[in-house]
Amino acid sequence: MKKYRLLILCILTFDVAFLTGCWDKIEINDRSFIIGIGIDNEDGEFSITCTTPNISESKGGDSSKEAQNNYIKTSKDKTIASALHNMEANLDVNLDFGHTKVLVLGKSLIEDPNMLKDVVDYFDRNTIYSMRIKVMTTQMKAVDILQTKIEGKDSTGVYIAKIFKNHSDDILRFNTVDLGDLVFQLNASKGSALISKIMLEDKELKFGGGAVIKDYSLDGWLEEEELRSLGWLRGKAKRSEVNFKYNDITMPYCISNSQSKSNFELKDDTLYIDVEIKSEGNIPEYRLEEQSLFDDKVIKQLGEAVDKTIKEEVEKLNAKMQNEFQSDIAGYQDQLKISNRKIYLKTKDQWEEYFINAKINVNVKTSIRRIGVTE
Amino acid sequence: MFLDNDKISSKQLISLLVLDFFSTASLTLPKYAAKYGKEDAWIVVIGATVIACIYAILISRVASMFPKETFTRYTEKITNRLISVLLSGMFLIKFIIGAALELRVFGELVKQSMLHNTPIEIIMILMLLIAAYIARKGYEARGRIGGFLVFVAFIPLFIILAFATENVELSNLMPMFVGDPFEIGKGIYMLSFGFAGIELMFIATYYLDKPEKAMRATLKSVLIVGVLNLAVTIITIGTYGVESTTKYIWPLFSIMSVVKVPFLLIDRQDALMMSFWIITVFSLMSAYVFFSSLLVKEIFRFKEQNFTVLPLLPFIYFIALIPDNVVQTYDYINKINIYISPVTLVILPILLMIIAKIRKLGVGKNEKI
Repeated sequence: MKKYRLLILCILTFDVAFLTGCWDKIEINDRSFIIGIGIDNEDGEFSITCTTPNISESKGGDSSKEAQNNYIKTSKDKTIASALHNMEANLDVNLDFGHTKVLVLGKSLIEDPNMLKDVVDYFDRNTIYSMRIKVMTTQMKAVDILQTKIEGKDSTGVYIAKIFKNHSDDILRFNTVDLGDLVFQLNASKGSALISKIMLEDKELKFGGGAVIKDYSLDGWLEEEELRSLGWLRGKAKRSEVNFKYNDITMPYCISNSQSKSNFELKDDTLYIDVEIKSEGNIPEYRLEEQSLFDDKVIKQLGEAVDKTIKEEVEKLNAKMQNEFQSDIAGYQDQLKISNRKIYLKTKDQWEEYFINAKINVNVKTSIRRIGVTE
Repeated sequence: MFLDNDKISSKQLISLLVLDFFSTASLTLPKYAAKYGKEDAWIVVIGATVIACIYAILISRVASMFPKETFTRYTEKITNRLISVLLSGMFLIKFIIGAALELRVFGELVKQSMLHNTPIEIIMILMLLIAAYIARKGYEARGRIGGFLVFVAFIPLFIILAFATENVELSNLMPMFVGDPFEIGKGIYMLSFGFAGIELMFIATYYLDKPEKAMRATLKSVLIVGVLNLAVTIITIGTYGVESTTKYIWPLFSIMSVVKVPFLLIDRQDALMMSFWIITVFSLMSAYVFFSSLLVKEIFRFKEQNFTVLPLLPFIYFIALIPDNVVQTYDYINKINIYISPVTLVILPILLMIIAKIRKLGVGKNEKI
């Protein structure tokens, strides 16, 4: 053993020098972490915007400084891969998409079915992108959204990602769509999906509403209230509020839990859908010196008033889906799959037609559980 | 020293087989199950497991008729020297090609998802060398490593799968029983060859400390992997739906990137999943290399097995480089499954059993060995 000691020592020393890494080694200071990607359609070419936080600046915490906290690069080409390559080739660092959080699709892009297909395929095909990237669209250009400078915040991409992280169950405003969800929706429905919308109002970013995609292109926009109704229809309206009128006082009702169930019936080739929306919640606000709420009768009347408001809103959305979009955005067919196999198999091939002509009846049952600590 | 003992317990055999079966089948299994069965993919998986159980019974029955003899010896007894050498040669070639294609899939997947700039040759050579290293150490060392690796690979996998169930939407799995029976049958037939590793039992039974337990152990491992495959299929299709699942080459990895495990530092589970899968690939590669070297030893009647390992590596390596791309690799794998696996899994054991029965060879089912 003693004989080999020197040899072993030599081998170990060489190991330190030669086994340090492999072809894929990139030092962290040679990487640029792309947090947000925006894609626009510019005359049939992909215009890609990438934002990356300036880590050495932003960690100082002094965002009021003149130094740039947020780098934005834009590149344009006929394909996404070559656009990104063009961008990278002119930078002193390597682009790293492993931490990408946000993908913004401009309006012009989702209007072109082929381009939307290209984008979704590209992000699905390449494993470097996480399937949990949040996808959103805007009525403006994606680049304008990502270029917005938010006061007190370092990077727009990080800012948007944080909103999603902290308010993910707030379906009221956010119809959260992950990249994986989007791919799944488009594949399963052969081109239909709902993407949440981000907008710029008075230099502030705001979420609300969404873009309805049909046949891989933009079909129309849903407003914020309509998205909330959609949440009720899907039984996923946690943390949503609805304002209703009772004795000419506008009051809020905060939903803590909601459920939705649909029953289907096929009579004379017409589809009858019975939707039952159950919710429970509390009343956090009323008017001082008005009649006491500590009365079972009043609570019941309040419940009925809420029922009416929700019912009206949901019916409005149903009518819009049937007449304007002619598409089952709320996912009635998914419920039908589970609850009634016979009707599903019968209507499967011409679902859209059955859906457009369906008679939808909405029943709402509200349970007000809490009214705060005052009468 | 225990390394020369070269006998393994049935528990160790189960661990090794579970690792081997899982490695070959599970990656692409949800894709093919969804392709043939649509929403009824689970029927395809269950059917394939049942068929695989039949293979397991046939093969371990034949092998345990001759508990004291190696594969080449007992086939020689049943037929003659020439045929036994031909059969051993056939298995040798099949194992080498199987190892080569599996190695290529491994290399492609690692390069595609992790090491984008590393040459695929390096990735493959490293895996081949480590598999050869353990294959040289004999069956007992492999058995011990298998008993240990099975926990390393599967406990985290179960935890991740448990969290993955959160994303399952029932509507993706409904309605049931609508698939085309012919397609489902075809799917069952195709997927049952995911268990082609059962043919290793022709050779491995001799190395069990209690060969009479071979059938039980094989059946157990097939069922364990069957249940695991069923869970993987239901979770994948439940999350992604039939259409998306059939679009991915390796749905299991794609699904892992959407799984969110709370309180875990790692954001994307696909890398984690990859590391467990590499463990199973290592186990499978070492099995193929080990049994190939064993067959070489048997064919040429060498005394030792370990020096026949290294000469096999160039063959595996160069065959692995033959396919142009991953599409062609899977094309070859499917062709082998369709044309050769039925012969080795069904026809061969039945023929051997019939001839052995006619010539009154081997020990019966209830006889003491």
